[in-house]
Amino acid sequence: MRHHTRLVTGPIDIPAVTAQIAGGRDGAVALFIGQVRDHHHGRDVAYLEYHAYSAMASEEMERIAGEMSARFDIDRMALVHRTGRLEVGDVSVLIAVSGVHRAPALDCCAAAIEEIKRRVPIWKKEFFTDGTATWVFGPDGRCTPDRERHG
Amino acid sequence: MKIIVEYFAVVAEIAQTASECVMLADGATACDLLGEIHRRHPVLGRQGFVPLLAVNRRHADPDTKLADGDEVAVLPPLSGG
Repeated sequence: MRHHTRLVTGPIDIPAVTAQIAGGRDGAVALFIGQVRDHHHGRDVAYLEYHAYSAMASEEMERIAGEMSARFDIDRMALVHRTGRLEVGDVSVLIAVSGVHRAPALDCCAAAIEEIKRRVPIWKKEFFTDGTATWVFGPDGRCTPDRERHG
Repeated sequence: MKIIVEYFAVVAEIAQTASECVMLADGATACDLLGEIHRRHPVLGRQGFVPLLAVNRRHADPDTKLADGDEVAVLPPLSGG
């Protein structure tokens, strides 16, 4: 079993991460790529900041990779999450799963992103084009009620 | 016993600190600690969410018993991904 789990502060190299986990004998590689969308609840997003409790986030991602691999009988998978300032269109998270067959690879990929959103201590702060900013609360993306001004 | 409390994201902004030490009686639980945190930072209790707690970098239930030197993180609702 091979896992690659990493928190990074720079761009995620999708081909490099995928190459690390792709097994020559497997029949499928499933990817999930999360990226910064340009709007939220009808407002235009200028950029985001992801903040993390880094020590725990790394450990939790490793635990998720172990659990998902066992549950879906997956030998190789990668979980990479980026933190810091991200612009619209930047990749924030990459999940790559190599499996013998497509169904478990796809199912593992889908389950892994849900577990990341539910368990990994990372928070998103959205900065809007109108100069306001809010923390996003919860995986369903509810915003804090109070908006603050940003530069 | 001495507990090291760490605050993150909006919780750190509200508490205006990233970390502080809290003294609790032996046998105290994570829930007892949260009560003490709310006494120190009453604004936290008015935010409309219940923070998640992590003890030594693992998610923990409120009834988790704490030990001297534990690191307890106070986490607002998560929004990674």
